[in-house]
Amino acid sequence: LSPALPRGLLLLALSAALLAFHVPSASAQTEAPGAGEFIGITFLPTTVEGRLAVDFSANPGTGCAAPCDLQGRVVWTPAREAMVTILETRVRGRTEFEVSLDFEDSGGERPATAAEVTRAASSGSPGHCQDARVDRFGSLDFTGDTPGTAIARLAAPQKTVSFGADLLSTRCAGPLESDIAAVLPTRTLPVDALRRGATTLDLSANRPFAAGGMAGTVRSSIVLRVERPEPPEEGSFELPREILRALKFNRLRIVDAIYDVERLSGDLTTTFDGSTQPELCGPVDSCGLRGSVKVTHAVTEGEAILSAIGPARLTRRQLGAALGLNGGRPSGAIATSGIVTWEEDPGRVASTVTDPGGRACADTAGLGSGMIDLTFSRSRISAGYGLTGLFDGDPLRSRCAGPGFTDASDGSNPVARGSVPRRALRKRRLTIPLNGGSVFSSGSYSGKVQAGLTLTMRRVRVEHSTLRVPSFGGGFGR
Amino acid sequence: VDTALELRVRTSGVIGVVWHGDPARGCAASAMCDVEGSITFRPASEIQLEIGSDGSSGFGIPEPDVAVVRVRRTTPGLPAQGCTDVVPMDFETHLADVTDGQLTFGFAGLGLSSGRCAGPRPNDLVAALPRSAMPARDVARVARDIDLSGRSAFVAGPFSGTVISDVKIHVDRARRVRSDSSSTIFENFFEIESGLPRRVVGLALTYRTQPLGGSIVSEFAGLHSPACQVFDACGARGRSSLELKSRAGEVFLFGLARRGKRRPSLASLLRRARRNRLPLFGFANFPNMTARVSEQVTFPDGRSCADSVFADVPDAAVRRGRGRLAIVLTSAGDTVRTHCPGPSEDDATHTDVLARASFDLREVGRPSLPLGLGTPRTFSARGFSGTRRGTLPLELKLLDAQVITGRGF
Repeated sequence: LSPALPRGLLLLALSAALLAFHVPSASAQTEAPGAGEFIGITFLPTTVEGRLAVDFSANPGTGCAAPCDLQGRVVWTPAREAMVTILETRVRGRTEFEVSLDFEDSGGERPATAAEVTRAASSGSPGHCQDARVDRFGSLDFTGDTPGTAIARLAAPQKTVSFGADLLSTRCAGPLESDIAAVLPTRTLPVDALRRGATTLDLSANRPFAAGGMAGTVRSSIVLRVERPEPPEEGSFELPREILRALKFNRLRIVDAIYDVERLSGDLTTTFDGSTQPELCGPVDSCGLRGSVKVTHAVTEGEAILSAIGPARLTRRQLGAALGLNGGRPSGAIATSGIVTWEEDPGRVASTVTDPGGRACADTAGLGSGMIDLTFSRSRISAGYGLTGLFDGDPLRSRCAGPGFTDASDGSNPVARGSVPRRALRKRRLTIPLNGGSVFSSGSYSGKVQAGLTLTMRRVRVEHSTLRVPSFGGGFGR
Repeated sequence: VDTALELRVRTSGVIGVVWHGDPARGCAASAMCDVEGSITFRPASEIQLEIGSDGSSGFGIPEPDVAVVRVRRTTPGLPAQGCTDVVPMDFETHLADVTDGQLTFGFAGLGLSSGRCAGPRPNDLVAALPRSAMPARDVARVARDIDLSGRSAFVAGPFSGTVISDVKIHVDRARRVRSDSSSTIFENFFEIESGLPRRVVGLALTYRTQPLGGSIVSEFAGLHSPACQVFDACGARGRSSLELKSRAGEVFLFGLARRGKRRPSLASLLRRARRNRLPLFGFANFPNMTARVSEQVTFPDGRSCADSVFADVPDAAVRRGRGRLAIVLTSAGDTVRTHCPGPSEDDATHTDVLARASFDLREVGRPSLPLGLGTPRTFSARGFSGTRRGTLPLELKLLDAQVITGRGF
């Protein structure tokens, strides 16, 4: 080395130094909590051991009308590293807890489901389906049914096919999570006890099940080892004080328009055929298969939040204009977004699949939670149904074999969309029709989706808050 | 201000890879003649790419897309067995690459492989995966449609196979944008930070190492049922050995600080470094390194699969820990798998670190530091559990220690 260090090496060393810094993600502070006032959050590192395996068969003895003559196994393997998260809020003077197990594996491992299902020769021609998928988000709801409690569980009994991940869902025929939920073990404990950590939650079991014309055995070896709470994130804050002092903070203004969902109704029909490429349809046993899945929504309760965020120098009225709540030209410095969510849907999914031998599988299943993405353009608000990047679940899933929603959706664009002029938001009630369709070809299946949905929601309040965030340059808006 | 090209890319179609044990490729010797398999990957349909002036590409948070691997073994007289796996794909980052002004779209960088199942490794498929190149400046002028459909044959150890693609890509006309690269964020740090040192003083240490040589061994067995069953690993036992060799290497350590009125002595800087008051960074280089993986797996019915392949050469780096510095070898590909089934490197290491040799900061500046590169551990992952052992001797000999000065950043 020369006595004077080359500038390139200086920069290299400096970059390494900067990359070692951690900027805390929790450095934003809201100044006007909404309906649910944030009290605190606890993170408990958790090691997840074991897996869940379901061996099943469907034959006249198990009561199957269809699908019949199946034998298979589904194995759900969680990621080994996870975090129990306890979010404490105050709602109308009462303390509430949301408890979840969030898989956060440092090695990038995600919870995965693998299935192998054999179709016997008596059902026409024999076939063998192998499939696997991973959860993008991977989270289990541990929120207790009574205040102050948490329930460690792999599946909630009330959960049906929904936009949340079904542990057993693949493209192969097989039982649904709701079919086995009743025989899965649960562990109920006070949130205060869970929050202390240092506890083991044994969710292992070996039990028979029979539901939906299928019967078999559920074997769980899942054990959660919950450690003591993690210290606050600030503990790992390593930015030198001189840089920290020099950081500038921006003050942002936020306007949220809150809507009640009055109704989401209509159908989404997916018709499909197995792929015509034998090399690709063979391994998933979809060659010559054809069928349809009709999802009928009947949502009557839910919430929508439309948000506008911009520099604090802008007025509430300017942010309101960006959301279409009042007149005026929206500023380009404002970012807008929106989402519609619902927890329950009394609607149904009905699936009919015919194999190359002419034998049909017909099944129905319930629907659960879901969401619709809302986006703003210059003069319109658009609603998009079925952006698979937003959820893990599969509204097309039934006990029959068939494409998953990741097949029917191309992953980046909604399968159904609709829009209305932005000025329609000035009225309290907003109705958006979601129509149209799309075609798909996913290797295993090809087909088309046709939608005829209507979303109606009513504005119930508008909230305003400000936020302080570190500034790294750049801005908001388009 | 750095600028970049921002592209909106829309893809349609699927990449499929199918293979089978081929007698002409010697599948009988590795008990793979009754094995056939497939990989299916459907790329995200719409992504944004940002191509910087340094040729890098990628945008936003990578979607955790996966390829599905389905392998089936149909041994006459035995029940058919299946191995099903998912292989994570980082499509956004690897779809496009810019080299020497040529923009190449393709799937070679994706790392498509048979995962833990018997079948091809990523390098086996590179030549057969479709790609298309064009002058990078052209995308700034007009929108393009790129047809990556077709069939292409490949061989992989005892297997022969075909890559099947019906992928088509539409590239919108690119627009020039201000780069959102991390370097820009760092530059912004300095724009807002006026108190950073303009004149710096530093410590530079140069170490020499002996040639690297040795093996890191992963011994494994299939997990108990049912965990082993989806990987066709029940009763399987095996051993994968990574043999590393290199010529004599170098390790450089640097520490930088604000310069005061007086130039500090080497001894005082070393004292500060040893007390962790002068943060040290650095890099390591082991020239002409080679990596070879040899694997043998025995199945409960007496069959045995043995294979040996050259692996991607690990990267060497220096990392800081709490009161310690470590020389690490990090993965550049899978250094556990061959064409036989078995655990992945991620299963065996659970990090990107293949081997680590660490020393206390108080040892900095000593003439000789005898270390061992290795990371012994036990593992239990998808389908397989096992142990990882083996240490490569590594002695750091101090060649040079200097006080350096310069003007700031």
